Amino acid sequence: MQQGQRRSFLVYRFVPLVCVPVLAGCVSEQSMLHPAGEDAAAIANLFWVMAAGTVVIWLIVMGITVYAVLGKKRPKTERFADRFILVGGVAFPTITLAALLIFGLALLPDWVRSHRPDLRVHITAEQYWWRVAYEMPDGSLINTANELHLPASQTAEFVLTSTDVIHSFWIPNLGGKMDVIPGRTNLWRLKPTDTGVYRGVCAEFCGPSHALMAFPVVVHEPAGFETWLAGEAADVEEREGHALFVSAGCGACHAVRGTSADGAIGPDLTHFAGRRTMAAGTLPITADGLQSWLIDPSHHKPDVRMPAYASLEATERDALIAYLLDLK
Amino acid sequence: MKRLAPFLASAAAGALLLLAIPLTGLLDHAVHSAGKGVVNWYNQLAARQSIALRSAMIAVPDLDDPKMVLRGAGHFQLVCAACHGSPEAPPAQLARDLSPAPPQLTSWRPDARLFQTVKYGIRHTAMPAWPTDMRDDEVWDMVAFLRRLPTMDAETYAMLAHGGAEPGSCASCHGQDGEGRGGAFPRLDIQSPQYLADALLAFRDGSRPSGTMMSAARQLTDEEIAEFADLYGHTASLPPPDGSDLGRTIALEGIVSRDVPACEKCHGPIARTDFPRLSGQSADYLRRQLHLFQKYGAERGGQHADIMAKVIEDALEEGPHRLEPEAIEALADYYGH
Repeated sequence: MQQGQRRSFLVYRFVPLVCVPVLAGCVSEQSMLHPAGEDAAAIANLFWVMAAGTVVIWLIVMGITVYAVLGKKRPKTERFADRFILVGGVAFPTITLAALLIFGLALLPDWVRSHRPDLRVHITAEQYWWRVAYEMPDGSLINTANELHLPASQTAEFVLTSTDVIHSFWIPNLGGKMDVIPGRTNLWRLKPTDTGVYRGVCAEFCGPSHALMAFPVVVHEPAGFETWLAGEAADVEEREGHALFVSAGCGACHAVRGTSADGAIGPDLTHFAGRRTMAAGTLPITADGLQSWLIDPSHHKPDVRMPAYASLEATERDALIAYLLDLK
Repeated sequence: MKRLAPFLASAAAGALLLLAIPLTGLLDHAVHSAGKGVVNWYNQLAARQSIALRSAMIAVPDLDDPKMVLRGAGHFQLVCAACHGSPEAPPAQLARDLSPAPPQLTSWRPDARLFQTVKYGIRHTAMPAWPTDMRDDEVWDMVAFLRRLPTMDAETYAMLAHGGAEPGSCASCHGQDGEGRGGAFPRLDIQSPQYLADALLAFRDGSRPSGTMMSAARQLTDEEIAEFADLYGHTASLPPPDGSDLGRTIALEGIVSRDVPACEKCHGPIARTDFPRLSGQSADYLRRQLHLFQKYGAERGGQHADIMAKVIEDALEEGPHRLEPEAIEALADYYGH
């Protein structure tokens, strides 16, 4: 019994505790070391240059240390000592840090945004999800949530704001992070280079479910992106299950464009079933996932605003789930 | 340390002796013997002083509202009159067998002490505490009634406590057709039978705390609940509400910046019939329920309490409030009557 408990502690707590941070580095969908955007490539470049430089400097320092401890104890001249301190303690750090500063400053984004971006996306961070709206050429906005689609090799500008607390918008594979601050608008640009599916996260602690505020980022070929956006912009028609969706009050918070459900409080659900995850990267979109979510959202996501719908009849919940899974 | 030892030893012995007293069986458990003499006097004095001390800091709200008196009267008739008697009838036989005997409430008592007594009860007597500590509003209703009781004649009492209906029936408080007797009690006639049955079940099992309704629903059987729900419930909706502009805005559009959805989406004509209807409901009732959800969230109870909790519960009781006091007032004014 005792031994079993100890083993289970080892297996379920300790091993993951040690392995997770190590293995996390191997996942490529949320990794700065697998750049798929211009900024990310520059950042990764900086990282490798610094890592290599650091290793060289570390080896030199260690070598000198070992020499000082084990080497022949022959007195050095005062002149040598002065020079050594001047070169190793003043000149070398100054030159190295200055070089690093120049290298780093050169990486800063181009502050003069002369050219228009190819795409503008309005992003509003809320505890604990992302409101996403694509600006169309005519200025109108196409609302969606918790998933970002971008065209490759085009510059996307993000208009970032928050409705509650400070969040931070970060897609490690595409570039650096930018704080999302209530009451002000931050602009941020990213230029993806490689198609693929990546993962964006909130990078500023924002409450109990901060770690459950992620979003898939899908980078398409430009033509594929246009197709996707056209599909996303299309309304859906009222279909079976709509009456239940509205009478149960879902429409008070969620919008399904093209129907009478026009709530503006929670995520837009127009093309819900076409997304890769629900509840901001928390659960996969499956009947089981939805069932569990509707019965007790707070279990999956502490402090979430979504109420529990455990009080609905099981058959009604099933019908709602069928309706949601049909919102392609 | 050594010099302290004798003192410590005797203190320990004294503590042990105190513990041993109940073990000896010398303390009398009997009601009748304690009902007379020194022990009784001792307990009563302690209770009186305890109530006086603890009521000193209680802020008394305005108690002149006739609706409060009406609500207090209905519960008094249902629960209190059996022991304390009423202007209409003397206490029931069982009350005369109690010792100490429940007092006839014919003399004036300070409001705060009435509140303290009704809310917390009195130890060593048959006076119970209020069934829930979430509903001070109900206790104040009772106080509003009790302060009128000493000078009340039987006729006034009968009108207040049951208004001609059979004492203790649903109609004695909620009115002949469940119309709420002029806004004093929540209307039943605007709700669906399903909603009424859900509410009664929640009151009966205590998951929706209310001193008055838990007492009223406690002895109902499932059949009676279904019968009453069918008797009073209707699904016909009232004409659309009319009232303050702020109330209308919140009801129809919500307060999006505070994640408060539009009330109408769940309480309007399109909503499920087991969600309560608000239009025409007692304004007092609406105000109180909003305060309860705001303060206690899902603990307020009821079939769909979690939804309302997520809609208006505050993270901190002292605010910031998702529904400001003005907003609650405006909503009660818009929907209520």
